[in-house]
Amino acid sequence: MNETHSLLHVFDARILMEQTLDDTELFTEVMNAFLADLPIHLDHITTGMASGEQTLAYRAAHSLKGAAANVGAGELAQLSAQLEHLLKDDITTAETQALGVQIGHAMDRLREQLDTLGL
Amino acid sequence: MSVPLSYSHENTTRQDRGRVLVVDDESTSLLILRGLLLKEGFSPVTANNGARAIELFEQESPSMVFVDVIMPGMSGLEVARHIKKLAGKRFVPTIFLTSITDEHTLADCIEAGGDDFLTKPVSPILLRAKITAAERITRLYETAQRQHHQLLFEQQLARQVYAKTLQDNTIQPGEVFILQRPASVFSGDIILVDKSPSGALHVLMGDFTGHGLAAAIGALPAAEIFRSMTSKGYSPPEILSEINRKLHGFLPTGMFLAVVFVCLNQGGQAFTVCNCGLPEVVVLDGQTGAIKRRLPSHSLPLGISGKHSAYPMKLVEVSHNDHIIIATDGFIEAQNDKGDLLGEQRYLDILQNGKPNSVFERLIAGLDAFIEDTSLEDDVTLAVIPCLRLASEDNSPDPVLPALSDSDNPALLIDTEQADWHWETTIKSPLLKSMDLTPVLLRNITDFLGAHDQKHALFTVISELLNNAIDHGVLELDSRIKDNPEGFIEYFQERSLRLANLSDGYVHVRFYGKMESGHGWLQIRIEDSGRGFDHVHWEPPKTRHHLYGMRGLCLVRGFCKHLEFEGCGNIAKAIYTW
Repeated sequence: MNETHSLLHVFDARILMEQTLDDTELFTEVMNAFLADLPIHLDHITTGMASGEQTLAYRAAHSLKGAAANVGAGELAQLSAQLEHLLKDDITTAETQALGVQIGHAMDRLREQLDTLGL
Repeated sequence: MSVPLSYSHENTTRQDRGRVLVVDDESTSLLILRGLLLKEGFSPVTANNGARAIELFEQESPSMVFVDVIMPGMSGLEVARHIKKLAGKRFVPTIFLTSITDEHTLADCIEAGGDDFLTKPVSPILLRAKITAAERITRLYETAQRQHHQLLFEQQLARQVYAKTLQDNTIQPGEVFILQRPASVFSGDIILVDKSPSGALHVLMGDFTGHGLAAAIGALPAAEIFRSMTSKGYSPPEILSEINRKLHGFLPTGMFLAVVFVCLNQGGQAFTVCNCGLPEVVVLDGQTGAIKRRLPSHSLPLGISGKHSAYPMKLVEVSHNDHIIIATDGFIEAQNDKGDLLGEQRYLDILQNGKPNSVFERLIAGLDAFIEDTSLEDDVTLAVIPCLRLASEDNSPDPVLPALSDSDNPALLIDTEQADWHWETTIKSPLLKSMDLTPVLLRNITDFLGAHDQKHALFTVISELLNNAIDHGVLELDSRIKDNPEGFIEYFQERSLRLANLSDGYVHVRFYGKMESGHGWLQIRIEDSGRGFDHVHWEPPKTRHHLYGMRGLCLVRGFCKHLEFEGCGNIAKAIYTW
């Protein structure tokens, strides 16, 4: 049960299914757009924090949070929300750096899960 | 696990619910919302930034807009503001998209013109509910707009009818100067001007409670009564009484009409006035321009009391070039942008500050200078009546009157045996005191014989004959009192006194008439209870004198084919043909 729970936490297909009203074409379209944007978000986050462009990183975290929530990637959404909250107050600390790394790992886990599901 | 709503593909193309605009910088949100809206039957257009969104809004004119609050560049709030401005009079529901952690900006959303919000991830059920609500509000708004336009259209139409009804065309330029400035489309003030058959000028200015259409609605019946009764020769108190009766009958409680009625006689020598609730009527001296007389309100406004109300007229003698000024309270209570009132003192100053001939221009200039650009809160209505003597007393060339030949045999003119109409009446002293007989008698003639185009001449003839019978016969007044200007008031005061004290006396009127295809004749016989005069040896003067009748009965002689006296001179018989 724990594993199922944590798997669902990584990715829960029902969330996007509900929003696309079981339209598999639309579902696929949204997933493709999501996957295409993932590296861009991550890049903006890491580059932004490294070069002190707070706004860039903040915006990317915000967008990633929204996108992840939309497609049912709960873990990724949660981590992005935390980072967004910290970056809003203009803090680049060890904490934010660590979060950036965690987000990268979460993305890997997500891609793995999606591969398993054949998406 | 929630059960997703499912649609078959066919449903999505069931209807085209119109174009909607979706604005979000994040791709998955954009795609999801676009997809859901397609399934709802809309034609969505998308933008991922504010500038593009505004461009698309102008191009596509969508009926609804969904916009993400947080975006790089132009924020969703700014986009919403722009869109609302561009939409102008059109109502375009704007729904903000927000993630739950942005709750603190929700108040700002509505302030910026947003009509609703949706949290992300979007729930299809909620989306549908909010779309339905937004469409409902749009329909409500459009209904309200339509009704508003309809109302405006009807108001404009009513205004045209109203203006036409109230328009007068019998008054010469220069007889009355009128300023009318309504505070809105409809003025709650009225100004009515007309001439009675005797040539007297009737001016009625009124102020209905409130303003706008509700106030103006009483204007039409009041104008109708004024016009109709003035043209028939009824007197101001009778007209005021009738208007009061009518308005009392249908105006809602709390609404009434404050009026001033001025009646200036044809010779310009005197006027009578009744002030029922308007500001003072002011008379300026024709030579000095100083205020000669101030006449404040002395009767109840019209429409208040249903009981038979009396409207006593004050009689004011005037000299050549005196000016009468009437105004509703809108003038005195006009405000400038500081909230100061023009006030009574300024009004009186403007009146006296120059020649009486330019008082009208002075008043307009004074008002404009005071209020500048401030718009009026209350309707402004103003009238200036110059009192001009028609001609100086004795030097005017008199019109030549047709000579009545003594050999005219009335029997050759008419035969009373052939009359189609015979009517007689006796009016004794109690009725003589309270009634003005001329319009009543005239009405009978026109009701029975037709001859409406003879109305003015007949009015003059009957008026003069009655005057002769009542003033000189029953009341035994000597019209020579009127020969000098000061005697005018003296004559009328004496007349009122004798009439009030009259205990017995009568007038007997008899008509014979015949009318066929545009021609006809009327024999008028009026007998009074007076002592008569020596008509056998009397020489009628050859020229016209005062219009208030003398034994000469000049106007009767001018209009009638025949005039003779019988009895001891207390019976006058005239024949009028057309």
